[in-house]
Amino acid sequence: MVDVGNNIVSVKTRCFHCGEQCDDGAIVNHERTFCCVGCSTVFELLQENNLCTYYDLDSHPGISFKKASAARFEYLEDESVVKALISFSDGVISKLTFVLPQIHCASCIWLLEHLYKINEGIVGSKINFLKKEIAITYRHADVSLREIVEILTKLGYEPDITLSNLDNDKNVRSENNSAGLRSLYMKVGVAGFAFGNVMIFSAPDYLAKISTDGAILTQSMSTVFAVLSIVIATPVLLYSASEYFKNSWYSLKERTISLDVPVAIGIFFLYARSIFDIVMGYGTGYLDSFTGLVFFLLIGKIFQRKTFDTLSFERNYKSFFPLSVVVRKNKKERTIPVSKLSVGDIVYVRNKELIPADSVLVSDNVRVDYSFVTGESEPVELLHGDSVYAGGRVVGTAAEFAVTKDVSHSYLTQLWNNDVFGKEKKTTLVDISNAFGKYFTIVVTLIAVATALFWLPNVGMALNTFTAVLIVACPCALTLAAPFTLGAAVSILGKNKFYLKNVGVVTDLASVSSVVFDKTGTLTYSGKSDVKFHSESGRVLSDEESQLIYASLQQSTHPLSRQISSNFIYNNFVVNGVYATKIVSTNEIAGEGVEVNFENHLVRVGSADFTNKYSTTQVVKISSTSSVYVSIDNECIGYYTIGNIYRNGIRKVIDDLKNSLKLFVISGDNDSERNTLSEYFGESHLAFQQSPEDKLQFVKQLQSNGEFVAMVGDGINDAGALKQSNIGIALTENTSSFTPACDAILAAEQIEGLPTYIDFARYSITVLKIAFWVSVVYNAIGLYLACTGALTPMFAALFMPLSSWSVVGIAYGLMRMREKSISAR
Amino acid sequence: MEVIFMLIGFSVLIAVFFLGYFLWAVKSGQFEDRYTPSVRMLFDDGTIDDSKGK
Repeated sequence: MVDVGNNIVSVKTRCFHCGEQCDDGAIVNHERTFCCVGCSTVFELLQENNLCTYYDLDSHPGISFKKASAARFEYLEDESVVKALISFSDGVISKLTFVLPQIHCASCIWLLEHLYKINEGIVGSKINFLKKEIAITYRHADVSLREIVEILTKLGYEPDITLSNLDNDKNVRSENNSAGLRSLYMKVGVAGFAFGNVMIFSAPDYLAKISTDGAILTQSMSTVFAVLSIVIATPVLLYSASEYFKNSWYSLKERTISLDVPVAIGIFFLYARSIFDIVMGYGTGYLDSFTGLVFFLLIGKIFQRKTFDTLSFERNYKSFFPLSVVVRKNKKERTIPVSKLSVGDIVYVRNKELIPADSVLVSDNVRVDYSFVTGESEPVELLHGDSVYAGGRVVGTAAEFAVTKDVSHSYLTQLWNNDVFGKEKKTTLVDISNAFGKYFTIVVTLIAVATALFWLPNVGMALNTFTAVLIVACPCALTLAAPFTLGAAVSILGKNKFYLKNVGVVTDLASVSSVVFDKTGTLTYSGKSDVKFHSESGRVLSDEESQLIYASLQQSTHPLSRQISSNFIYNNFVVNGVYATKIVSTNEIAGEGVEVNFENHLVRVGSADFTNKYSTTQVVKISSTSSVYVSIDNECIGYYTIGNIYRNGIRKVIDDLKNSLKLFVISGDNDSERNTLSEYFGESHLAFQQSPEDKLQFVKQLQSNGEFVAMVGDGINDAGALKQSNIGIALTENTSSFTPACDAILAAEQIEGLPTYIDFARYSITVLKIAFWVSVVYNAIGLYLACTGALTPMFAALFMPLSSWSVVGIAYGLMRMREKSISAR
Repeated sequence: MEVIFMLIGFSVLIAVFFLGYFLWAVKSGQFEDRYTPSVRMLFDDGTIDDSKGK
C-alpha cells in the first residue's frame, strides 16, 4: 500500500557513519544517529576494535549501505578461484591485491590499513590510494580469503572482483606496465648521473680552449678526465639507451624503418666517434652531448607515458559479467564461479542481476532488460520456454533459467571472437613516424656518404665529416617534440575529463572524418525519460485524478508504470497531498495493464486496447510504442507518452560537428525517435535495431568508403563498433564504473566539449608541424657545419641541447597557451 | 695540484653512492604510489588510537 504524505520528515539528521540524511527509521546507538542497521553495525565493529579514529580524520567517512548490494561469496571457497586471486603464497603467508572502488578519503586509508586489528589472521594491508587498491598479507591457516572479503564488505568496501581478475594475463600486463616505468626511471637516473658528471669533466677542457694561457690542465689530468668520462658514459649506451637499439633491431627485422632507427644511429656514432677521438688523442669527444641527449630523450619518454591509473581501456565482456552465479541442484542453492557453469545447469537470477549465459526460461514469466546488450530501452517480457541471451538483466521478480550455451560461446560474448579483437590497433602516429623515419634515414645516409666521397682523398676528413653528419642529423629535436606536444595535449584533455589511452590517439582524433553516435545512453540520458500526459480535450488532471493514477501505477510492476510514477515523485507532485480513498482490490493482467478498484473509483492503466475495451469513450491509439493509457470510471481520459531525454547541449554538439564532419546514429533501439533524429542527422544517416555485430559492420562499411571513423558509445553493445572504429570513445557517467574497451573515455557531462576537443587535437597537430619545421631548420644548419667539417665537440655540446630544448619549448608553450581557452569553454 | 685526483675520486664516489640510493629507491617501489604515504604519515600511532577510541 502506498503511503503518501505522512512520511515527510522535517528533522534532518545526518548519519554519523555515512553522512546520508536519516529519513526514516533512524537508529540511535551510543548517542549517535545512524541511517540504517548496516552503518550502525560498522560503527559497533569499529568500536569493539578501538578503530574509532576512523571518524576523527574525516567527517562521515563511511559508505552508505543503501547502495550496497547483497553479494554472496561462497565461490571464494573454490580452490581455483583462490589460486587465481592470490599473487603470492609460501604455504604460511599469502598476498593478494583487490580493487576497492569505494576508497575516497584519508579515513578509508586509515581503516583499511588497520585491518589486522579486526582479524588476527591478517598480517598487514597497504593502500594505493590513486589506484584504489589494497594489498593484503595474511596467514591462511587463521583466516580464509572468503572471510577477508566478507570483512571488507561488512565495512562497506566490497572488492571489485570480476571474471577478468581470474584471467592471469591481465594481472601480468599491469605488472609489466609498472615494471616498465620502474626501469625507465632507473635508466633516466643513470643517464642523468652520467650527464652531470661528464659535463663537469669536460668543462675544464672547454675552459682551457677559451683561456689564452691554456695551462689549466696538465696532460695527466686530461687523461684521467677522459678515462673517467668513458667509464661513466658506457653504461648510458649499454643500459639507458638500450631500448632504442632494441626497437631499431625489431623494426629492421620487420623490414620497416621506424623513427628509432636514425636516433639509434645518431647515438651510436656520437659514442663511437668520441671513443675513437679520445683513444687516438684527437680530442675530448662528444660524451657530454651523448649523455645529455640520452637523458633528454628518456625524459620525453616519461612525459609521453602519462597514464590515468584508475581508468582501464582494455575491458572485455568478462569485466561486466558477474563472477559467481547461484545454481539450483536437487532443490539446493549453491554459488559457483561463472567459469564453471556448464550447459544444462539451472541458474537462479535475482532482480537487477545479469544472465551469465544464453539460456531458456524455466520460470513462468520474467522481464528482461536488454539495454546492456542491444541498447533497447524497454524491457522485454518473456514466457516459460523462451530463450534469453547472456547480458540481459532481470527486472522485477527473480527467475530460473536453464543454461544452453557456455559463457564464452553465448550470443554476446561471441562478438569478442571477431577478428578485430585479436588485432592491436595501429595509430596514425606510428604510421607517420615510420614513414618519416624511412625517408629521413635514407636521405641522411646518402648525404653522409656523399660528403665522405667529396673529402675522400683525405681519409681523416672523410671519416670526420661522415660521422659528424650522422651525429647531427639525429632527429632528437623531433623525437622530443612529439612526446611533449602530444603529452601536453593528453594531460590538458584529461583535466577536462576526456581521457585518452595514449598520445597516438591525439593524432587519430585530429584526422577524424566522420563520427558515429550510439543513441541510448549517448545522445540520450539512460535511465531518465521524458513523461508527458496527453488528452484529446486538452484537460488538465485534477489533484484527485493525479493521485488516483499515481496510486494505480504503484500497483503495477510494469517498467513503464515505474517510469511514469518515478516522474511523479520527481515533480514533487503527489507527495504534498493525502489521498482520500483506499484501494479495495487490484488486478494486473500481464501484457495488458492494471485495474485498480478504489472505494469510489475504478482506474485502469495500460495499453489502448485494454482501456478501450471497458470504456464508454474511446481513445485513438497512437503509433508510438511507448505510451500508457488511463481510464477513470470507464472513461478514457488520456495517455502518457514516454520519450527519450536528449543530453544537455547535444544539439549544439551536432551543429558544431556538422560543419566539418559526417555524422551518423546507430541504435539498437526501435525507431520511435526516427523523426526527431532525422531532423538532426538526415534520414540516410540513421540506423535502428542494430545488433552489436551490425554496429561493427556499419563502422567497417564506412571505413571501406575511406572514412576515418570515431565511434561514440556507452554500452557493451557498442564494444565491437568501438574496437573497429579508428578511435573509439566511451561515454561514461562515472569514470570509476565500467567502460568497454576503447581509445578514449569521455565523462558524460563533458560531451558538450567534444567539438572543442577535436579542434584542440587538430591544433596540437599544427603545433607539432611547426615544431617539426623548426627542427628541420636546426638540422639543416647542423648538417651544413658537419659537411664542411666545422663541427667541434664544444659547438655540438651547445648546439644539440639548445636545438632540442628550443623545439620542445616552442611546442610546449604553444600547447599551454591554448589550455585556458579549452577549459574556459 | 695532485690533490685534485683524490678530490675527484671522492666526488665520483659520493655521486655513485647517490645513484645507487636512487636505484634502490626506485626498485623498492617508492615511486609507485606518490600519494598514499603523504596521508599515512599524518596518522597517529596505534597506541594513541586505543585510548582515544574509548
